[in-house]
Amino acid sequence: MIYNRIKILRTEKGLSRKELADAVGVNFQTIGYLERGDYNASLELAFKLAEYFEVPIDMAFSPRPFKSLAEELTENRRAAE
Amino acid sequence: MIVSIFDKMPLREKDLSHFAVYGLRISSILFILSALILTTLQAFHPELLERIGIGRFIVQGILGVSSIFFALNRLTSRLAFPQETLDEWEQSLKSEMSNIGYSTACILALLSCIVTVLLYNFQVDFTLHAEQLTFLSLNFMIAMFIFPIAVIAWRIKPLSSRN
Repeated sequence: MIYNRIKILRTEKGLSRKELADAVGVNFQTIGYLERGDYNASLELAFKLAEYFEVPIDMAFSPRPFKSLAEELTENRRAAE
Repeated sequence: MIVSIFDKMPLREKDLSHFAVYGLRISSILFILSALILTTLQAFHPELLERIGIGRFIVQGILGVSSIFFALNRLTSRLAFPQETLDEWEQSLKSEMSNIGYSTACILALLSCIVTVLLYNFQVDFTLHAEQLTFLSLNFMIAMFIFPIAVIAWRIKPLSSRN
């Protein structure tokens, strides 16, 4: 199982599933099932999505569950201190 | 040319709506059951089929309605399209469907072999006529082509293009 942050990244950009799907050249259902975790993206699609959102690929996809935003912010603050 | 025609028929939101997905699930099950009942009875007990009278028309009606619903569903037609015209999720669905079809065919072939060997060993007098063989082959075809669609229909979940 590969976890992803596609839904958060898409929502941040204010896009619908259809708009994002058109931008990366797939149909809306691929994005939908990807967001739900019912489908694992191909390597090509994973790179396309990371490129589209301008984030490193490991920020969008991970083999382990992502930490929540609150946890990450706390960790970053501790690291900065 | 053909590829561009297929490209113009992507899945729409309504093709994965609750109504479409649950409709596909129910219609595929009804299609398989009614077709198997009709073909098996027609092959081995045609007199029983005559005797049930109105029941036969009901089963035929169910078969007709479910096949229309089946044919109108774009998901099932898209899975019959050439691989290169499909989206990657559809391609994965199609290969999963082929795997299920292949496994079903192998299991049916193995079961047929076992039954034949058993009948031969126990010297049971069992012959199949051309008509019975035709209906039996029809059952095999239904199992190979429609059963994988039914399995897929029960696996996919309804989806909206919005959140």
